[in-house]
Amino acid sequence: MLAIEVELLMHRYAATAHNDRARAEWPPHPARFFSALVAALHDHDDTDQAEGAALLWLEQQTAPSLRVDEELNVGTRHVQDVYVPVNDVTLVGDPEKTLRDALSKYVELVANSATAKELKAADKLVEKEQKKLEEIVRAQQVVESAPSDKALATAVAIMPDRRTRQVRTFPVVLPETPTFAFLWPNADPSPHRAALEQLCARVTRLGHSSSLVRCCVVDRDITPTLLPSDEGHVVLRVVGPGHLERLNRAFEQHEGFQSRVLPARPQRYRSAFEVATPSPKAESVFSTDWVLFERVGGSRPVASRTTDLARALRSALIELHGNQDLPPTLSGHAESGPTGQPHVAFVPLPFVGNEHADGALMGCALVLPREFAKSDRELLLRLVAKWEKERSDQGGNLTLAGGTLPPFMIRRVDVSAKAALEPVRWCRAAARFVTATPIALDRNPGNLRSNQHGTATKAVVEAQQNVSDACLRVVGVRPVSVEVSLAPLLPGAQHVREFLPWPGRPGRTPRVRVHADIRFEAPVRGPLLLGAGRYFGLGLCLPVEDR
Amino acid sequence: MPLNLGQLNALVRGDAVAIRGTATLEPAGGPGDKIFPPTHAVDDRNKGPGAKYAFETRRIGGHDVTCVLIDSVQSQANRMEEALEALWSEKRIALPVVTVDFSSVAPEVGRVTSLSAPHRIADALLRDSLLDGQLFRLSAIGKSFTDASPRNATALFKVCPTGLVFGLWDSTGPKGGLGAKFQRALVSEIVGINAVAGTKTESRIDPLNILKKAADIYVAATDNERWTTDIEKAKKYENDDKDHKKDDPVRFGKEGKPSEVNHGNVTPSIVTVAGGVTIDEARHTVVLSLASLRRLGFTTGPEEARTVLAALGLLAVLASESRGHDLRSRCLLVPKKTASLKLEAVGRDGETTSLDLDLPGAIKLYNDAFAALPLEVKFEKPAGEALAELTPSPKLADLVTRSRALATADTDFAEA
Repeated sequence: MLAIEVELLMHRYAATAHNDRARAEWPPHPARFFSALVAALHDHDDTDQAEGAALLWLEQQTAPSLRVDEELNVGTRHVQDVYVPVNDVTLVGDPEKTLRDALSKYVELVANSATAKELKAADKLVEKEQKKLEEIVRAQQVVESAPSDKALATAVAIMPDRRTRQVRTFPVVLPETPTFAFLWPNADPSPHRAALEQLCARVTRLGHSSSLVRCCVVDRDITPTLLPSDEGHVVLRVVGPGHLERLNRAFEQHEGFQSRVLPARPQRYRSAFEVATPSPKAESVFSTDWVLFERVGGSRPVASRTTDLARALRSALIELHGNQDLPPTLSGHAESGPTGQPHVAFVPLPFVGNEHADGALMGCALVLPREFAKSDRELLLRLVAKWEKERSDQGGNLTLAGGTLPPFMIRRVDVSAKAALEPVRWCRAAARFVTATPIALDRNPGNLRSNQHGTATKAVVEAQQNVSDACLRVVGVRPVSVEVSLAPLLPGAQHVREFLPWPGRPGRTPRVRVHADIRFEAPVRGPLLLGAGRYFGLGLCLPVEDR
Repeated sequence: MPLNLGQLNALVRGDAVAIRGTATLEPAGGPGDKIFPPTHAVDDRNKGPGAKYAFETRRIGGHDVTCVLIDSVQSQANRMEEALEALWSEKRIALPVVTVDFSSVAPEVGRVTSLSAPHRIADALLRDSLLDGQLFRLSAIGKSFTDASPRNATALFKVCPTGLVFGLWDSTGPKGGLGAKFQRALVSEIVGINAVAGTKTESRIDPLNILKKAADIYVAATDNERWTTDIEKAKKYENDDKDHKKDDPVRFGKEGKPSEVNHGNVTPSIVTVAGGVTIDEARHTVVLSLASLRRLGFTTGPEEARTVLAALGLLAVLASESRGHDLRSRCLLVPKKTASLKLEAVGRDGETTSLDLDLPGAIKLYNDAFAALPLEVKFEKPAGEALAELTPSPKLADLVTRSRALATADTDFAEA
């Protein structure tokens, strides 16, 4: 067992929630703690081998349990805007910059054995910059007779009593118990214990620099209060294998001062006091392992455009792959035609189910099938990385467009603040599911809109049977009841008539689509993607409370 | 027995994670007296009682208790630096301090030092000033700490050790965002327990009882008067504009009322957004992280340097404490009987050991630690003498004079 205890020396924890700058983070996220350990690792230029190995071992462990005050028992400070003085008001600025650039250019030329002519030119540039610098220094002695408004404003703003200020927020949490702990009950840290102790001794703060902490490895038994569980309600960022490498690579880019997002993976936690719900026996052929993209700009399509967006996403990846054949698990096609095996689904995610839901597509996901070969997974991730590398703009954003779809800008994220993009929202075990996007039925059930009572009723029964078959295919069990409807059954979802025909290709019969409210006997774990269009965003079902 | 150098060395070198101080304070007017915490900007929608204060809820003894922030981490740091500056100018401690004197140009600002400037030695004001005719950051001293980092803090230690205690980020220097960046090792905060918001009233009775309609006030045309009621002597507009014509007299302020020149009554009003609070008591917590100091690397005398920094931190705490907590108007706090600042060392395992130190002891401790520094990092100037005295550049000095003259003329005292 590995237990690391952290004491908040000032009895306060100041850290901003990763998805809302106006809120404080609580409980402290394990990923943040891991980053603090990595910072401690890099205290010295030559990182200690044993310490590095210890962190590589730690990232392989499962997500830790926590012993920490529950959010109910934690006090918070009302977040107020604080105005802090800036330091970039200046008359002079960095006058040496151009000279430094000229000098380094000269040095570079010397190192690369440049020609005498080039060296002479560079030397002249250095001299010129030196003269310019001397001129700037001399200019400080000169009093201008008619100074510009800008210069006057700078002179006012630079004095300490009138210094310009910038708003910052400092959210603070005040837990009743000043200590908390991260626990790995099944881990055996013995070979790495000493190194971990050394690293912990160097963790001096967690979160803002005013959150000073004491951190050490402890031997006594500590009972956890928060346990990792897919049924839990608390989502914390944790680390996984390869994390140290990711952090090191990211550091090369941001160098410790540019704004950045901590890489992490989300993990659900439940309170240790809640009774653990047993894991559902039935689960979807689709996994909870998603590659998530969040909408960052461009058009704001609603759920009715879901198939267009899904097709655009698939096309983007296929185009990147080039002419080589994609394996069937990615393309859905084997040599002989459509494969019967579950393959990657391209699923745009709409905002539905809440009081204010408007059905807008908040992003999209690549939903991997549960049975997915490691090599295929790697291929997919490489394709995505290639896509990001070659097609993203300066902000790291990708654009999806195609057909009648106006450009839709997305960015890959590990964890999103948007509820609609949280995989667990769609994947949690439930006994009742309601469609967010309509299910495209495999067979035509008949005329659901018929005025003749008998025809419509027969069609409804047929449609219900269809949906039941679809459930059997995807989760392996039949539901106990299915209600079908053409009108939407969730706030934010849209009427089936708003959706373009599916498959919408010439020569292919358009499928009948229905919304459905599906109840199972026992909870089933999602994600539930049903019907003919399930690989393209249709038939996406939201787990809801069973009432 | 007061903490001595040997013991401090052991704490800094050994297992003590931090030195923590706690004190319980009460309003100088006695418990139950109202005090005024710092105010923050408030949303127009949020005008409930005490909306401008930073209230918080703490769990104490199983109950939710409303508390209020009385002095923030940043404000406490400023006060501690002020206390150190006072000790230094009184010649009781030797400390590398860089100063620039604006007294001739802006007397109300006076002398600004690396202890009082908002960003310490990396501040823009020092950067734009001159040392022997050379821009500060281009001088030898200014260049010496450009490359300082937690792995090699010696250069910064020699010119601004307080930067290593209170934190520093030279983000607008030659290296931009990659400039010297050090986390704070000393954190102090004062919080009021069981705070209840109050109300205050604002009003003014004019001794001369000048009425609002008594006269129209105009800007005076000549420089030796500010305002006049005589239209002939008023300044006139030079051009036509949307709300006045050429040769119209210029009204003082917006409407030329006597209140614009500070005469007349102010209608009494009741203010609740910032009407003070009553508290049961105030808790002052301060932590000096020795583990942070241990993470700093030095090329010479690392142990001695860290001990000096620890002693400097303790000195800052006790010096500030001894000046009393006169935090702002109507916010004077005094220690409760038997609950004045107590120090303890926090061990690796959480065990605490109480420490005994008062201000004279802290001064001695600092001076002893200082004397033990190896020659290469020792500060040569005696107590009270600056490491470098900068002068405002003539250009900046002139701009400041002009802008302040304009400000007076406009009566535009903008909120800082």
